[in-house]
Amino acid sequence: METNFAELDSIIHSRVRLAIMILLLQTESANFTYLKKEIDASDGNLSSHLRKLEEAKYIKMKKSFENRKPKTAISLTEKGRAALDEYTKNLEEYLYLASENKQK
Amino acid sequence: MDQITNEQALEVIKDMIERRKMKHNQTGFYHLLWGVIISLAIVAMYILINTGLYHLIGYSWAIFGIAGAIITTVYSKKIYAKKGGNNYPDLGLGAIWIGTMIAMFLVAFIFPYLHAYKWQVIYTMVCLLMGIANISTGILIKQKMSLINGILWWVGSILFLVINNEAVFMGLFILLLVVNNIIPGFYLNSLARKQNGN
Repeated sequence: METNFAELDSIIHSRVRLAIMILLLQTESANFTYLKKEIDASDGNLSSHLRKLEEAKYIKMKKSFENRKPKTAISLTEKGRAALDEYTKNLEEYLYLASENKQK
Repeated sequence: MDQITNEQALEVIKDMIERRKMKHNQTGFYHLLWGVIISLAIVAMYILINTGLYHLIGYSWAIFGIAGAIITTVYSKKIYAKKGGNNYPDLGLGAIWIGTMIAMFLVAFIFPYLHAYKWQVIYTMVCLLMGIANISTGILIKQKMSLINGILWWVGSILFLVINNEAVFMGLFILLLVVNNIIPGFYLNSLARKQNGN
């Protein structure tokens, strides 16, 4: 069976980063604590994945202060949205091919 | 590394979408709050009618409405701060209920104040608005109970136009509130508690 891993975006193709992207797709913006709680990731782990996504310009992190406390609003960029769209399309195609091959 | 298979990727996507679906049941507080607020406004209206203070009906609706709006805003902000993120259905729900609150203020206070219609029409207008808000909520969060509640509110809005007895008016309204807001509110709260494991 032929696999097409190469077609899947390697930046998104990780459990934590994919979970971040899917959560942000359904959210206007989220903070670090929210993502940490929803994804069950450690601070360090989540930070490194967020950094990777930010470097790829898939997400943006807007820092501000509320009642003198630092606040980070994380949201998906247009580039990130398009990349996720492409990723899910490719994934769907792959899974369809895999099920077709299984039936044969 | 954190690399996954394609099948695992599909599982992650499903899991993240399911998690968001579960949070939609946390709307019980709003059902309960608005059930209580409108019940109090109705009781106040009944008392004002029976004491001949018709001109104060609009003001009582305005006071209860503003109190409800303040509690809703404070509660929503608290929930947002606690969660740290609002998804699009949550934002949609907020917009629906804030819009309903503003419209209620207009139909129950401003319009009667401007003598646009008799005070009896307030019941019909409030029912219509509650119907719109409940049906929109039901469609947005895919919840049959809210859809049924919305339809019952609309049935109520027609009934209020054909009933002439004021005591029956109030009884019917309170019945609608209990069936459409108080019971669903408790049900949704218990569902959310179960899903959150506390």
